[in-house]
Amino acid sequence: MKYTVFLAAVVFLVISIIVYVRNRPINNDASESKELTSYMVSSKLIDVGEVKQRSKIEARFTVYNTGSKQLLISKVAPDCHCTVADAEKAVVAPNDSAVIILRYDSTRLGPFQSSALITLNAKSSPALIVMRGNVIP
Amino acid sequence: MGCSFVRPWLDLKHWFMKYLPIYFLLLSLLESCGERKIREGLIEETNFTQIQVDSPAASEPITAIIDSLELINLEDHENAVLSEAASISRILYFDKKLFVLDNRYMSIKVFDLHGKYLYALGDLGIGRGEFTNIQDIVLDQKHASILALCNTPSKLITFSSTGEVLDEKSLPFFASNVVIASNGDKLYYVNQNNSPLSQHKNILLTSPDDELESRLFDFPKNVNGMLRFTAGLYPSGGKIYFNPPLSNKFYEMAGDTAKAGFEVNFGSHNLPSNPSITDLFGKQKSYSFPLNGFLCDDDYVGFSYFESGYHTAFLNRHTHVIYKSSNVSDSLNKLFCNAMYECAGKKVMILDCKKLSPFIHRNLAAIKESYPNVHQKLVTDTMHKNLSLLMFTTKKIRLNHTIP
Repeated sequence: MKYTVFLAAVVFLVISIIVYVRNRPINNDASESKELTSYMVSSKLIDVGEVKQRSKIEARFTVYNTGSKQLLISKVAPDCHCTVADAEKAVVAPNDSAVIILRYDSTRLGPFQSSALITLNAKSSPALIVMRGNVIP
Repeated sequence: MGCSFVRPWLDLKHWFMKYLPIYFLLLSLLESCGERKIREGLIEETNFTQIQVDSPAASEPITAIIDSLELINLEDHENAVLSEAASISRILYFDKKLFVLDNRYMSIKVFDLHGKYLYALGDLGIGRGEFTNIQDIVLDQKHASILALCNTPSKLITFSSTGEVLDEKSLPFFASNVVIASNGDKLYYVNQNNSPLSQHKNILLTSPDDELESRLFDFPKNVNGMLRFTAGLYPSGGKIYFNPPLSNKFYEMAGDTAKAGFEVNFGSHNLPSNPSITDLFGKQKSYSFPLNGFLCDDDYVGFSYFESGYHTAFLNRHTHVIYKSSNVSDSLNKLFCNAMYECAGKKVMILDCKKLSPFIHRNLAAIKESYPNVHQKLVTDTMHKNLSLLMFTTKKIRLNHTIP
């Protein structure tokens, strides 16, 4: 009898572990473990217009720290390998700002749109920034 | 001491042997409760129509089948700007409005039938009703709504035709196309990634309660993610057609059965079976394949294809004559070489007047003679910068006459 109880407990435990592992919430938001602040981005979309092929194409977005805690820019992830993203600084003091630059590889002719996600210690993180334009010969 | 240690384990073994069948039964019951059985669909390869695109003897210009033609200049409003003709991947018609999906600028712009910009569905962003990567849109006639398929993250947004966000649900796979099955309840997706749920299958059919019901079509071998996006699902004439990536065949979908309906034959330009990536990119200009656009009515089968550039062709289903945009006997053919859609009982193609400006100016006299209303718009709206739509009907075929 005690073996039956023991085995039933083991089976219950194993099933519980499987159910937990399958359904556990995946938390990708690193900002949750940090102190949250608020921010504002100068513009979500920058249209650089017509640009010559193989010329330098970049768009500058300003991120303002509108909260009372330090704003931490932990990641800027472009959506494609044709774009490089650079953050001027990773830590922004309250009432200060940081510039994030998106640079696009202008070898392909025609209209383009490229975006990046900025991960910050704010409730509305990540933030999306988008640049678009038209590469002409 | 030894005995007392071994004995419980022998008892345990005995206990396991005794109740093993019950355990298996319980486990299988648990499995069947947790997961629905996913069916493997059927693919029928018999009795399809061959479309001989490479046959010069049977080729005619597309202009020969144009019955009526209208030019709609999409408004130059700053919020209405579309990227380029090749990036317009779906046009829907509903409630006297045109819904235009731009795959490059990631937008759904809504215009009236005169080209006036009305509003956009959704916006760029990561919130509810927003997207960073929109792949497809489909009209849900039954619920008078528009479904938008998005990736990164994978989700399906339901918009009312006026732009209100009605629903949003995440998807457990990465899809590039979606259409609603003929009965209006199930969805077909073109799946792009291998996952435990989708496996290596290209078409996924989901039930009305959004559970995966069937899988069809293996991913082609040696083909990377980017090339898999050349696959397409096309609703036309009340039916659904699927063109697998780098395949010349169009399959008619009915439930979880795909029946080959048409095969385009490009002759010496046909892709080899299971081509390598190096071969595909190295010899890209020597291959032809269907791409982005298919429609089928009682008289014609129309499709877009890549052959050192974008082209279109129509097959007369009764005489089997081919009408091609690349036919040089009529210069105005060049107007009809982009992807085509069905809207308001007519056929629609995108036209980039700005890009074609030198061609249009060279051929203004011919356009005036063949399509005076189009000419009128071109000369009065010379500053137009946004894309335009060519809305046309094709000549009806009277079956009691033999078409020469």
